[in-house]
Amino acid sequence: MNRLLIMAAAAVILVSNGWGLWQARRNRQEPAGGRLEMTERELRLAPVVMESTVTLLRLNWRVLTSGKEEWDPPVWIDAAKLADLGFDCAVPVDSPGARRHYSSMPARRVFLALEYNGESAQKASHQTAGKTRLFVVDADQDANRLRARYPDREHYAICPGAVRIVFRHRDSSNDSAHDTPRIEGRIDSLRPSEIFVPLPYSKILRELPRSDSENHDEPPAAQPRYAVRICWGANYQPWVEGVRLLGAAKANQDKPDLESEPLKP
Amino acid sequence: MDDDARDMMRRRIDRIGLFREELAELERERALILAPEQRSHLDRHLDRLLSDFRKTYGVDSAEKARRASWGMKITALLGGSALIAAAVLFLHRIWGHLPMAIQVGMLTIIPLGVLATAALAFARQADRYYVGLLSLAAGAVFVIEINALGSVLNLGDSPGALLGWGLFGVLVAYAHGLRLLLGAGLGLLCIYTAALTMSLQGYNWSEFPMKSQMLIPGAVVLYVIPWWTRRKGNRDFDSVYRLCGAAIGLWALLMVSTLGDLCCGKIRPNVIAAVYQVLGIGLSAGVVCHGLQLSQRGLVNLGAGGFIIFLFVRLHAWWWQWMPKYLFFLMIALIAIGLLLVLRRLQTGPEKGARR
Repeated sequence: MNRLLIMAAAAVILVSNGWGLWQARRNRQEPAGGRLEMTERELRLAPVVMESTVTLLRLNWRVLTSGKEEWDPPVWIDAAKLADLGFDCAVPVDSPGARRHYSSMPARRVFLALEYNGESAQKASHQTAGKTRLFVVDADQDANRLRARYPDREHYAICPGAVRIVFRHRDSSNDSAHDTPRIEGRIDSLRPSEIFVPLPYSKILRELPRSDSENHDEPPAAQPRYAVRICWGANYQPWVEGVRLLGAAKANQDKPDLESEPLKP
Repeated sequence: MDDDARDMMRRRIDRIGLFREELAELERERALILAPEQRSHLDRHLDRLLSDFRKTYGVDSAEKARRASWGMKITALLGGSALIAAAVLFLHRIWGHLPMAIQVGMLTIIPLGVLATAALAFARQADRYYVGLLSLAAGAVFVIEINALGSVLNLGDSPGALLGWGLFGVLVAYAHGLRLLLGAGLGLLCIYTAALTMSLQGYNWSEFPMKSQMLIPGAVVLYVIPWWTRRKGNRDFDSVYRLCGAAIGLWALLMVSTLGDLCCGKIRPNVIAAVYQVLGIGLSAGVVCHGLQLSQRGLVNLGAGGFIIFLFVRLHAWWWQWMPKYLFFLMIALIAIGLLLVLRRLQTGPEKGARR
């Protein structure tokens, strides 16, 4: 009996790993989520933790906000959009239980449309020189609907993420109370927020000096040193498809670009 | 070997040892003097019993268990933890230099290897403490491994991982008779049911504490399982099922009443919170009574703890705003003393009844 139980436990390990591998294989069969070649501005090397040689790229994204501050909500998320994303917005914001109702609502898993170097970047260019050009421009519960709205796979990627509803009864800029409370939506996260870089691509990036800064809004000190092509597959999970060094970094390292297929000029 | 049989054997060996010590003491005090042939017959019988146990079950393990001091156990725990930390840090150091195929292969082989080591230790009658440590290490390695695999393959997080970890914990717990691992496995399976429901509803499943009412069905199932498996299962494990069910259920109720969404038609949220908390007080009292009925001290303590927390939260909501603060704490202290008296009476009552 004990042997059977231990064999079943071993089978759980094997099935879990097999499931993960099968999902990864299925994901890579079709780049349904899109393919973007982004630079160091959008893909920051994660700081080295405890002598680790693992290379991870953190997706650095922004939204066009409805106000002047970066913590203001995205301009495209309103009450109708929140209801469309599946949030229960039926409770009036001035009712006694509204605060608790909205504050206790978990984030919702949705699909997000990522726009690279497009209209949003142009609109924000006057205030954001050197910052990321990757913008979250839309969200939907259904990835196919989102893709139908943004069919250009070379400029728009679809990836999983989470949106949170926020109940606001005070103005965060001056801490004054609103006349009427309001609900806002925020992008909680992109999933995964870090992309693992395997060999041979990691070999190129590993030799670049890394910043210890956790501040992703801070632009890189100089011009971007590398460009990485990321592909989002059938399950909308990303993988690295190619890496090339740019400018001075390329001249210093004198290494060829690594890509699974030719990058666009 | 059946774990219950091993436990029975160990208890019998303990009793034989105690019996021999007491017999020697009685002989010294001249309270009981056996005839030489009776004494030699008894010694032969006991030696034969111990010899049989040694051959059949590996009696030495019980003796080793006694010899293993707490110092040795703590040293083993620290050493084991340091060994796992060293292995994880070493892998971090070389991980980036390995091709993905080798990374995935290592992630599969390492947890299987630790699991096999735990099974080997159990088969060789090692002390239960060390088997438990190795089994826990196997569980921890499996958790790390799934996270690492998810990172290497850039997979999104999924509640399915909780199912895998929970099943692994329960299977290894049953194989090696480990209560702690069973509790962890059952807890993970219960969380999985809540996370899966949230995931199907489109919510971020990792925020399950915000919808902790979804844990309640799983907690109820855990609590009633010992009734379904009456007399078939391990009695020690029955108490783990009940403890897990009661702990998760009461915690979920407390979270719903204090942080949950209480919008329910025209009823005011504070009324609904009061209903949940009074329900929590009643259920905690029920857990105490059931624990006393089953003579399970863990259940009694858990119920008493839940009762006090729910009572404090409710009294705080009722009294804190208008009552002088010193009076509030005085009332809490008096209620605690009253509860102590009631609990003491409840605990001594059945013993007196049994003596009569």
